[in-house]
Amino acid sequence: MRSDGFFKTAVIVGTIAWMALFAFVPNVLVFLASFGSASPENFIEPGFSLHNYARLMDRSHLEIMLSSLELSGLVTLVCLLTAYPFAAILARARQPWRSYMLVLVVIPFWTNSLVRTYAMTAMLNTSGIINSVLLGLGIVKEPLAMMYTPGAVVLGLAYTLLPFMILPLYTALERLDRRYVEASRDLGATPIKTFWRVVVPLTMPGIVSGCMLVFLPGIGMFYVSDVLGGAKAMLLGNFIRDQFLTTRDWPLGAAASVTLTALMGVMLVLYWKSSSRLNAGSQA
Amino acid sequence: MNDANVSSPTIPVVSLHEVSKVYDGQHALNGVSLDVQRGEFLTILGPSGCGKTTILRLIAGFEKVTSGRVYIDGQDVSGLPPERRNVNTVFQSYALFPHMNVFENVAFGLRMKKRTEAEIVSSVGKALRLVQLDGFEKRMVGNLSGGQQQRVAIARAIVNRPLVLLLDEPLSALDYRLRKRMQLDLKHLQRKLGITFVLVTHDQEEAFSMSDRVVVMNDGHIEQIGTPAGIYEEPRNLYVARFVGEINILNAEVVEQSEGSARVRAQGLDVTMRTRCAFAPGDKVHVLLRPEDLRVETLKDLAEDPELGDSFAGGRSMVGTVEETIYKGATYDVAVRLDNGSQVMATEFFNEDDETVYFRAGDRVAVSWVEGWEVVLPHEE
Repeated sequence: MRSDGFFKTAVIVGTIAWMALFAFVPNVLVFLASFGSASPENFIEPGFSLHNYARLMDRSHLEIMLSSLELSGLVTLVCLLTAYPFAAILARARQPWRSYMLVLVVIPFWTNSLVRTYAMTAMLNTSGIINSVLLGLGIVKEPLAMMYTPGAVVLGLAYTLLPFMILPLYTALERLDRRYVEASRDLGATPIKTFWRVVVPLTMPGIVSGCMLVFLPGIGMFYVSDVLGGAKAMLLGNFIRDQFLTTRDWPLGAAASVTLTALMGVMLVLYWKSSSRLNAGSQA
Repeated sequence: MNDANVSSPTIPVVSLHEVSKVYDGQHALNGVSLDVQRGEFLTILGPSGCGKTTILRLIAGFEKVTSGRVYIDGQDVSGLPPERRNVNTVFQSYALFPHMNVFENVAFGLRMKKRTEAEIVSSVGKALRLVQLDGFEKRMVGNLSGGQQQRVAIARAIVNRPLVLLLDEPLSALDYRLRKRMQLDLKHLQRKLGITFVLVTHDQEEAFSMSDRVVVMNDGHIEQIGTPAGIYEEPRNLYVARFVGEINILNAEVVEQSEGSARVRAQGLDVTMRTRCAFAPGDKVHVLLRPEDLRVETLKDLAEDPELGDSFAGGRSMVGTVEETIYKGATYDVAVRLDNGSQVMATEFFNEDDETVYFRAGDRVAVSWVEGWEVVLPHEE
C-alpha cells in the first residue's frame, strides 16, 4: 500500500511537472514576449506595450489572418461534405465491413503526415500521376498547374484532416437511434426532410467537434502550405513560423500565436456551450 | 379530431393477405392473413419473437413484405414509404425527438403536411388537452416522466388523425399502477376518437382489458382471432389456452359422440361435455378447466350435507388431497393432488359468512366444476 501511494504521487507529480515545464511555462513566455519589442541582440526586449497587437491589425497582416481563416473554413467544408456520407455508410455497415472501413480511415496515421504531404506532390506535379493520366486520356493538352495553388493546399489539408472529421461524425451517427428516423418518416417527413430536421440536429455534437478538429489545426499546419503552396504564406501558421525563423520578429510572432490561441479558446468555449445545451436536451 | 378520415365503411381499414416476412433466412411471419375492422381496438398478443411487432412494422411501412400483400383502406401499399401511409405509430421507446420541446414534437406531423401556424397551434392544443398535458408545451421531452412521455407520443400520433394508430408495446416501460391507468385512458381515448387502434403486447391481461378483438400469435402465425371472452373461454388449441391464463389440462378419452357433445371418460370422471369438434369413440382428448371454474369441497362436508353431495355426484368429480393453498388477496389458490397423480389448481373466493371454508394441506377433497364451462380439444401431445 505504501509503495502504491508513492507510485501514484510520483506519476501525478511527474505529469504536472512535465505539463508545467513544456506547456504552461512556454505559453507564459510567448504571452510575455508578445508585449515586448524586437531587438537585434537579444531577440526580445522585455516591456509592456500592445504595439505588436496593433501591428497585427495592419492591412497586410489582417489579410493573411483572414485568408488563413477562409482557407481553413473551406477545408472544413470539404471535409464535412466528404466525411458525412462516408460516416453515415460506416455507421450503417454490417460487420466485418465496418471494421475494414474503419481500418481504411486509420491506415494513413501509420505514415508520418509530412511524408504523406510530400507524396501528394508526386500526384499534383506537372509530371505527376494526375497530369499523366489526364494527358494520356487526351482530356487536357497541356499539364495542369496544380502545385503551389490554394487549391493544392486545401486538398492537402483536407486529406490530412479528413479522419478527424470522420471519426466524431461516425460516433454521432452510430449513436443515433434508428427509431427517431422511423418516427420522422412515420409522421410524414420525406427522407430529405428527415435528414435536415432530425438527423442533422441530433448529430450536431459530432458535426461541431469534427469541424473543430479540422478547422483549428487547419489554421496552423504550416508544412502543408510550405510543401504544396510554395513560398507564399497562406496560413497563420506559416506567418508565425516566418516571424520566428525568417524575419526574427519574435514579439510579432508571439502576438500572432497568442491571438491564434485566444481564437481557439473562444471557439472551444462556444463548442462547450453548444454541446452542453444539446446534451441537456437529449438526456431522455 | 371529429372529422376523421372519410372512407368506405365496408372494406377493412387494414388487410393482410398471406403475408410472409423472412429475416436472414428465418421466417418472422409465415402466411399471415388478417382484417382490421374500422373503428375497432385490435390487440396482437404473443410472446416476444412471435412476429407481432413485424406485423406493425409492415403496416407502418418500415419493412417490406417478402411475399403477400398489405392493404390500407383497400389500397395496396406495398410500394408506399411510411410518410405516404395514413397510419401513425406510438413506439415502444416513444422515440420523442430529444431536440424539440413537447409542442414541436406534437406539431411535427402537421408541419410536414404544411398546415398553417394557426391550425397547428389549435390542433396541438387540442391533442395535448386530450392526453391531459396542456401547459406542457414548452417543456423539453427529456425532462418528462415516463408516463408523460408516453402521452406526448400518443398526442404526436393522434394529432395527425390517422386512419389507424399502431401501438408497439406502449405501456411496457411503465410501472404497474400507471400501466393500469393508461390501459383505461387508452381505451377511453380510442372510443372518443373513433380511430382504429392496433396494439401489440405480450401481456394477456392488457390485451383483454382494452381490446374489442384479440389476435393470438405464435412463432410467425396466427393461432386464434376472437373477442377476449371468446379466446379465454373457447381457446382453439392448447397453446392459446395456456397463453391466456392459468388452466388445468386433463387427458381423457371419448366414449361416445353425439351432435354437439361427447361422453368423455378420464381420471374417474364419466361426463357428457359439449364440444364443437367431431370425435370418434376412442379418440384421445384434452379437457380444459380454468381454475376459477373449479369447485372444491372436503369429503367431510359432502358427507354431512346431502344436497351438496348430490351436486358432486354422477361422475362429475375427482377426489384428491390438498397439497397447499396460496394466498392471493381477493382469492386463494388451492393445489390439489388427485388420486391418480395429476395436479389441478383451483381458485377460490373467500366466503365472508363461513370462516371455516379454508382448505389446509392434507385435506381430502372432491373437485368438480360448473357444468358446461369445460373445453374439450383434440389430443395434441
